[in-house]
Amino acid sequence: MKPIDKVWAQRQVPYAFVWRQQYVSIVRVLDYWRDVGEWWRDEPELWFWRIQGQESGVYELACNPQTHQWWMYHVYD
Amino acid sequence: MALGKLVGAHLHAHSAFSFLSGASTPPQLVKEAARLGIGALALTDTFRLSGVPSFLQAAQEMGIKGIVGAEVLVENLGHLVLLVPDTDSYESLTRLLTEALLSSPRRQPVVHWETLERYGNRLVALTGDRGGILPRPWLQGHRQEIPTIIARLESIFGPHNLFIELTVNYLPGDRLLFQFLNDVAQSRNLRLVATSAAHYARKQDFGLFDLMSCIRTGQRIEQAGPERYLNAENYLKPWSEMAYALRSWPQAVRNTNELAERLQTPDILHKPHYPHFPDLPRAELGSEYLARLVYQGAQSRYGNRAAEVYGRVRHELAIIDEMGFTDYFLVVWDIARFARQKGIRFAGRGSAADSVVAYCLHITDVDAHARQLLFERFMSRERQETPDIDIDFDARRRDEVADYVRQKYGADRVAQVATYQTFRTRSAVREIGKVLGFPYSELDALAKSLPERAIDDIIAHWDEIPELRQYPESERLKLMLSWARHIIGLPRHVGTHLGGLVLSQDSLDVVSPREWSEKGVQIIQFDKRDIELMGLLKLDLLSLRTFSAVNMTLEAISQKDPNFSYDALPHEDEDTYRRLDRGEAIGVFQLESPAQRSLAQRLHPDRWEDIVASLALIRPGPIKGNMVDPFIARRQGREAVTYLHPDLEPILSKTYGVVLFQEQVIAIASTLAGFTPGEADALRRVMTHGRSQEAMEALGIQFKQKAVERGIESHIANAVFQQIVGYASYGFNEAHAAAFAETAYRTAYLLEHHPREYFMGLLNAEPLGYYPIDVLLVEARRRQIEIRPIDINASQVEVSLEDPSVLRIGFRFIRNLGEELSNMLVGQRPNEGWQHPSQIAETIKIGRDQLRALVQVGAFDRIAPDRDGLLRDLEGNNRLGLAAGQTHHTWTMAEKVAWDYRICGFGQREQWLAPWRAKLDQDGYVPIADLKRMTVGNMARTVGYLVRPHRPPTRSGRLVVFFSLLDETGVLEARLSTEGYQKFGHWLFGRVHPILAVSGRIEPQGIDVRSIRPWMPPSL
Repeated sequence: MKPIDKVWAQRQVPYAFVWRQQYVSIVRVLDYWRDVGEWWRDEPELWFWRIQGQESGVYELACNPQTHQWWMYHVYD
Repeated sequence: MALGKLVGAHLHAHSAFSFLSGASTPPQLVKEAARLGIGALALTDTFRLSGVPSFLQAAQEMGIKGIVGAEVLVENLGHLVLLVPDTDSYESLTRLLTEALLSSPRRQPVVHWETLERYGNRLVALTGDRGGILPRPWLQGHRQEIPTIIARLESIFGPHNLFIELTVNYLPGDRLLFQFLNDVAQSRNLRLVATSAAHYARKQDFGLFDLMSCIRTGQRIEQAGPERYLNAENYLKPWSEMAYALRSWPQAVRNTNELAERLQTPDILHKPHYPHFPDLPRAELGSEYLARLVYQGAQSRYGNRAAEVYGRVRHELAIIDEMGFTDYFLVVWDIARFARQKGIRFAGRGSAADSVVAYCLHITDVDAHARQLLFERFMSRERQETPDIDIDFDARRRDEVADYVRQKYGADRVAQVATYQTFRTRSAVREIGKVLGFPYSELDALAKSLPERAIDDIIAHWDEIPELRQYPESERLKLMLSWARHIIGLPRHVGTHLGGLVLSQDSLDVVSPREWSEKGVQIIQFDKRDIELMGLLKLDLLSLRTFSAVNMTLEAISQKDPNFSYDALPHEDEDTYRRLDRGEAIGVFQLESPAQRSLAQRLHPDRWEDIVASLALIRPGPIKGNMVDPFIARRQGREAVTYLHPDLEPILSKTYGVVLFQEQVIAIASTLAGFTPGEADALRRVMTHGRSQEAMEALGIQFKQKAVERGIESHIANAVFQQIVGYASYGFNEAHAAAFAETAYRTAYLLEHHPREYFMGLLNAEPLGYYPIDVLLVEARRRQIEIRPIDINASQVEVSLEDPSVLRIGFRFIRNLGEELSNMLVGQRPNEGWQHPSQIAETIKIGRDQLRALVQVGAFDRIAPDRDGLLRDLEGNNRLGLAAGQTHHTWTMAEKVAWDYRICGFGQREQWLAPWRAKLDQDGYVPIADLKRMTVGNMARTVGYLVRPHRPPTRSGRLVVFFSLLDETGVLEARLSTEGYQKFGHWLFGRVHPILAVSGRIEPQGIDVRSIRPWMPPSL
């Protein structure tokens, strides 16, 4: 997972982000889920969004809802 | 109940009664729902209504609408959540569950469509979470099956009662799944509902739930698996979050509220279903028939003094009739009559022995009239509780009695009570530790090392507990314990209550589902605490192994003395009391523990009442309450027997002015303060259970006020109340003590006068009592009874009598041999006897390990003393010639004894230390019998086999360890101080070497230990 520097979100739902210096506007949330990971090792819960950008790219973003840190989890070319 | 101001409803929630698939108790779920302002909550445990009583009670208390339901698996297609819409429909769910549970393999219940069709039309159905009946085939790609499933569900439930469930669990693929479910709903004109498919109350409970999931699936925490949950979203969510998560499907949220408004809490608590006695004579009411039986019984019990008890009998019968328990008494009388007719030994115990009616019906053997026992301790108008009648039966024949009850009262109206095996400290540590990857041997040792303290306390004082601080990785262990702490008290699985049987006038299906127990009997889904809430009456038909021992003893005695009458033994046998006085009661029912034997040596019992008092005195309460020494001092006349008020003398004279029994508390409150007996019993119960300072003060004011009104001086009323408060919670039930005293005295009589027969009975009834077999054997040898070891041609299945004063150990005592093989060894033994192990192998189906054990335990010693040779023969024809170079050796006695312990667990020819006595003498270790004769105060050292180390509550609250040491000459009771425990505790608990060298100071009843170390024999 690679950190994403800038994500715009409302009520913790992303609507735009910058990835590889490109501004991506989210046109559709395709899926959303939460994952607790290895909680017994104190891993934080992460929230995931599979979204479609305005340029038709499909991305999976991950967010730590406690720290508001964002990562790129997957990019579907 | 309408939802009122509360918003939202969680209609799919599992509690811990879904066994390892739910991490919260029903009250915890209700409490969380109340905190969130949720209006209605449905409890939907998997195939189970066990949580319903506590759930409905909690819901009522917290003003939440409680809805009853269950989740079921339909034909391996998927789950369905079934909800009860009203009281009348409750029965449909119980019958549906019963049919599913009784027709499926145990622990793998399935509902067949036919069952669903039979009972489903009065229930409401939700289609479940991802394991549900629609999502599961959709996710598995079996979409072609879905239209058929929906059609079938619609035909059963109708569109009004079938709901498509959207679960807010934030899982990958939810959007597509919800879209599909929405499409189904629209196309079939069905409604969506919202749930969170809760398996725990709060999000933070997920860790515990995940650990439970690992226990359930046998996985370690690091292992992934389909049964593990991806996230922590199966909790009771705030309704606003549910609405936000389903903002694209708002109708689901709306429909949920509408459905919750429609569903009603079934009115099922406190509705009596008491049994009917079926054999009433024509034209006679139950109450008339009961009265007739009781008056007849009074004649047989009291003879020409019967009229003395008529007044009391009338009083008891009136209360029994008024409270609706006439048929119950007739049923119990009928069961007791059956047992008597069949020669099955039994005795009523507990507070039922407070009743003259029970005595006259020959249910109990305690003369409540002569002892002036208070009926109100058993039942009263004021006490709105069902009476509990407990009867002990000969363990070997208890099931015959239960079978009779089932046959007579109807299999669908009689069932065993369930019991929930809950996680305790040790099981929690073992199971959680396993999930976290600790090796079994380490967990086992740790579990055995844990003192009887709260886990928080153990963690906080880890370094002060010697047997724990030896472990490396203490931080990891503490972390594991902190998880184990959360699971303690939660139900693990269902079991069968040892003796509890419920009888109902109607089919039990009206009240509870039934299922198979492991033993193969039908049990209801409620435990003993909940059956009363469900309006059922329980009868405790308990197994008592002591009665088995007694009956086997009596069968043997009758061979030499056909006129011996155990039931008519006089209570005044001096030799019996002298044996108790010497502390030689090992083997006596309830009087053999070190504490009881020590008490006897101080109390010097010489009469019946001493035994009754002893049974009440050795309890944690009286010991903590410092009652024992004052009682002994008064009994022996070293302290004056005084009474705070003359009216107390008739009540307390039998216990020398000490308040020892619960009945005395009731009598004092009645006599001095004018409480009705029922009110007085209520006071006794508050004192016993709810000892809050405020409640106690309020009671004190009431007591003193009433006493003063009756002319008692204020300071005396005050002092009496303080005395009651001091003793009430420690008080024991006199009726119970008197009932047990009968068996205690009689078994002491058998031990004194018929030791050979009684030891045989005890050994054959094992496991029973405080001490293991090894101790009984040492005691038997001390009484000049010869114990002969297992012999292939002389042993029977059980321990048997041979010549006068000889007992022969039976085959059953070889571990892993089993009763069936033991029976074959005896039953198929040739007239000339077995000649060789191979002959047995050719005749009966027996494993090589079992034959080897027979050789190793010396069963062939008389016909072929060369054990090594026999063992080699057992290994085959020695084709490789491996044994050619082996030399013969003669087994030493120490070797033989060591093998006896390995195979039987006890020394059948000698106790473990006997072969080492010369060496022990040489090293200055004193045999236990000699040590007991040494002068008190002297120092001595001895070596013994460790028996039952324990850390009981003490008066001072300090941690003191007690244990017994056994050698071939006797048993020694040892005490280790707090300081000694710090130094040597690790030799006593956990993974320990059982042979210990102990030194210490001689005390009247044992040894005050100063040092401990393991003792190893020079070689075997």
